[in-house]
Amino acid sequence: MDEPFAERLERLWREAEAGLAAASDVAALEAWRVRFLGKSGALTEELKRIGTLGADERPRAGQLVNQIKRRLEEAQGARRGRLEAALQESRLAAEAVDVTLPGRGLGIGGLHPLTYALRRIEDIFAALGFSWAEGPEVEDEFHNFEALNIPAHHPARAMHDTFYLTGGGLLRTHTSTVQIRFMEANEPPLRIIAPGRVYRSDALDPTHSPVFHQVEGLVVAEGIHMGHLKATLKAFLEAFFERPLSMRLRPSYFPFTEPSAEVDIGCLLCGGKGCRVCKGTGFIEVLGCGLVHPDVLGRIGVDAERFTGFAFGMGVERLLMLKDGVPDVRLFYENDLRFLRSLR
Amino acid sequence: MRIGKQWLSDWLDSRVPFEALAETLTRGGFEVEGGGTAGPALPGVVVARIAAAAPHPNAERLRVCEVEAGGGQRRTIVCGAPNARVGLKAPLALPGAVVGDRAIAETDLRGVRSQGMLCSGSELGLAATEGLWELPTDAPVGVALAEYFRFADPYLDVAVTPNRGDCLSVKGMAREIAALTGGRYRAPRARALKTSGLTPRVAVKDPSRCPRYCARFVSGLEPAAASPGWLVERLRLNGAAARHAVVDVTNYILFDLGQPLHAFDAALIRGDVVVRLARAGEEIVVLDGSKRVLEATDLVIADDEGPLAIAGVMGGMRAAVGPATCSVLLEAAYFRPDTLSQTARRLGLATEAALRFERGVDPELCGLALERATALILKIAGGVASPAAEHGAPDHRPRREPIRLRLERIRQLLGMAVPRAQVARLLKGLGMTVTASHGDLLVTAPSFRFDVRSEVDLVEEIARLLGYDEIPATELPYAPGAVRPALSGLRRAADLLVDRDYQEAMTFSLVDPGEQSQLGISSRLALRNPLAGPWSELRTSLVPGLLAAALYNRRRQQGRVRLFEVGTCFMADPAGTGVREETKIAGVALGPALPEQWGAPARPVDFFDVKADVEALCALVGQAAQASPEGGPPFLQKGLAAAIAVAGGAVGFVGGLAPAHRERLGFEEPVFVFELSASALQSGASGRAAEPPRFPSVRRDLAVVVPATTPAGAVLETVRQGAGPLLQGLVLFDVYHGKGLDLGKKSLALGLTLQDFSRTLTDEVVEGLVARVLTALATTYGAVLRQ
Repeated sequence: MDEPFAERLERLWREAEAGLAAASDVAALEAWRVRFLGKSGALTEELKRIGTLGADERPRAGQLVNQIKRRLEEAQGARRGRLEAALQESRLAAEAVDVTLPGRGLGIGGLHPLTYALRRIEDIFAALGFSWAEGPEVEDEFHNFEALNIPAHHPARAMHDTFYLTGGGLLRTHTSTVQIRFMEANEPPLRIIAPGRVYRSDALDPTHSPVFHQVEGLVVAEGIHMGHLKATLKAFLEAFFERPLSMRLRPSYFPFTEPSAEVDIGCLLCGGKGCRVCKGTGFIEVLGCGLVHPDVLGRIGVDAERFTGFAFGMGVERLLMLKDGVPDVRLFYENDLRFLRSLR
Repeated sequence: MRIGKQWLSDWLDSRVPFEALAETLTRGGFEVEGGGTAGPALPGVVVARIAAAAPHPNAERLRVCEVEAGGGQRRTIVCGAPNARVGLKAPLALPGAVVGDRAIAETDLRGVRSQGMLCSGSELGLAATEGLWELPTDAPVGVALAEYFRFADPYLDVAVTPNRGDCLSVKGMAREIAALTGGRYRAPRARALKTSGLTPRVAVKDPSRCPRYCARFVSGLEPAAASPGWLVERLRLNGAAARHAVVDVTNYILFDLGQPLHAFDAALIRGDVVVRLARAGEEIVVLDGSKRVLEATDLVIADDEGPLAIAGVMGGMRAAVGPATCSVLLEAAYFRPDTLSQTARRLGLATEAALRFERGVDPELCGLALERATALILKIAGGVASPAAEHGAPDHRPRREPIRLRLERIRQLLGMAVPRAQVARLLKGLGMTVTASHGDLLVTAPSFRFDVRSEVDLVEEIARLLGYDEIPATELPYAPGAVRPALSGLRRAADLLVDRDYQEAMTFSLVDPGEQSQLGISSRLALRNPLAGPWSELRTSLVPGLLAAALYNRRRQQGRVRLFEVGTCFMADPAGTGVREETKIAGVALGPALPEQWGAPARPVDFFDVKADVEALCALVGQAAQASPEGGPPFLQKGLAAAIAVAGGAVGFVGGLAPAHRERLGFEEPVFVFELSASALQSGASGRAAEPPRFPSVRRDLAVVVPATTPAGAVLETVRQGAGPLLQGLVLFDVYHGKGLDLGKKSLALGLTLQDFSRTLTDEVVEGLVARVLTALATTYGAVLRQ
């Protein structure tokens, strides 16, 4: 005895709905789809049966089956979406990590504090229009002394405790040598800095090192005067120390500059009131400078009447000791990682 | 140079209080390095005179002294000093005084009550005397020692630059301060002396080196005469001890006027005095007791028997003034700075006299100094002065030529105009003569200003007197700076190593020659005058310094050390200056490959870690690092060392430090080092852009079995050669030994990426290429395809 078509479809619908609700994962859903919506699934079978119905019933029956099929497909789609989202979520949950654990691999090193300082000096002067020059560390008497107005037996030689090589030559006592070498090879106008290592036969102690770094500066052009020197050094020092500074030029003596000056800045620690660092004077000496001596220019063929210029030289270790409170110059060359990493 | 307030006032009516002079001097170019009062207050320490002295009844070495110390009554003092004798004046610390850290009180010493303590100079921290400090005879009994010596007088310690020898005296400083502040300077005047007797016979054989020589005898001196307290104290202020009155006077005149003098014991001079060059090899025992060998360029004062003194540097022992001296030959001379400086420097005799002569002593000063010294000696020690001998050649004295000074030049150099009248006034204040000439000034410097030679020196004097603060700051006009490719190349290399977890180090360019020689990399560039310590040879490599730095850290609980350095190395070079300088970049790594962490297994750093760093450095300039097992430095472990070449040229090395060196230096773990010439890392950027290929590439993987000894690099090179230009990528992704392979064989897995830029590769082309490669490998290494 055949169940009436409409009732059977009604039952099938209910059955399918219950089955769909019970499908708890994608696989069960697939089995459900095969059973109801597959090629030989229940609804397909019903469609096939439509042919056995009377001609007047067929259109309505077809409509009904297709309607049910559409609904079941929609329900299945929604169910599948939910199940897949749940599956994805559980997969992601399994991939979750403790994000507070440290990362893997190499760490990061660092540059030497003096390199940071040298780069900083170079960059500041580059912004002021200075180019960059270098010269040899093993020098001759001419470039280290004579060209700079320091003939043999000049008392100023006592200010430069010089290392000499057994085979001749000496270790430059200042980067002022590069002034000479650069002017030998280039015509004014000139605007350079020359960073490099210099050597003095000073015993190693908290404030002296036989090997240290200087940066030399040289400007030679028409119309350069002492006022340019002042403005340039002030701009540099304020950029280097990252603060407004009081600066004074104090007359001094270098054989290769005339007039010569030492440059003092207001004490960084006490601001000028007087303390241990500035020995109560309120000032600390940071570098030496002056107008290039006409004899120095003339000796290497620069017309000293037409061109004038200034030069300056600074000790990089000293500047950094003042800026970052490095208490002992030896720290720069001991290379203790704990010190090196402390200055970035 | 120490300048006392009282002393300065001998020469100067200052307009500026002494306390404010430090600032004035600093702004005038004389750095004030310190100051203070001349001596301590010493409350309760007075001048005492020993009136009687007797042996202590209970102690052999002690004496019981009856001492006058003012107030009319005598005190009993027990004293152990061997020079405690009747008539001696010495400092007495009364009960209640503090000497050093001792509080003085009345005490029984071996049964005798002592009412104070007679002091030595060193007990008071003032003079290095043995036994009691023998005070000058003029010291008034009972007066506080500090008052007698004027210890409350303030002084300034002034640094004088080498160009200002004229300021190495109180008189010179007074003159300078007067110019800086407008105070009144009292120029010294000589008083006429009564003289009698014979003029000394002096011959100056070398007038160019000694353009002026004045000398006289002073005889009939009281040998025991002692210098008065004020003189002793002024010497002490400048670190000189009182000795013989004549020597004290010469020292005093040196500090007071700036003229070094010398006194010879006239009784010990044989024959005439001669100023001459030394004979090479001639010897002299000088006052510090040492024997010096002279050279033919040294100037000496000599007599018939030989040198008496090294001129202007130090006197000799033979005619030295001593306790028995009662007649002296007193010398005041002008020696040429250059000769004297050469002698003093060679002999290492940096005396006060040499310091002044080599900076230049006013040639006009000799006569005056001689007169003033003579007068003072006569006053202190009595005696008779002979007429002075004066020798020399005015022609050889420094010339003072007028210097033309243009007002326009002042403006040009200082950036500001200074009115003519002001210029003239400032220069005249320095003792210069100024006249007008064709709109300019003609300026003649005084004889003591050796440093003023040209126009620019005058400009400096004007700037100095006006004050550098007066010069207005002016910004430099715009000028474009140049690019710095060489610098940026090295910066990039350093940054790369930082990114790869290396810390930059800086080590001395001077190293221990023993260490370089041990490592087999001696530079033979040694210092002629090294410091004490190991730094006496220039480095040829950064490695010794880096190893020392690594060891330093290793010994301070740093288990993982990765350091690099960029620096100059030095090599002997027969060409040019004999030295070739080369910038190198080097690194050292020891300990774990990675920082200690949870996420990666711990393993020690190995050859390939460090080689990767080297490859990365070379890749910065688009170059492949070619490694070869031959040609590395001698300190690397054989088999763990590679010479590195770039584009066929040797640039450096990488490898493990040989175990013998590791042990010798004290490393407990493997240490890897590398070093490259920085020039290899500074080539410019590549020239042309490459378009990405439009056709697909093909990848073929081959595993080939070759003898285990075959270098992988050679296999890769053969593949490259065999494959030709279609090979765009080659990677060696596995090396296998062991199961499945014959002993002595290894399998290398190679990934070839092939690319034709003009068409899609066909299987035919690819198979043909692979076959060619395999044939080449088979022929060269007997390689077979691994099944």
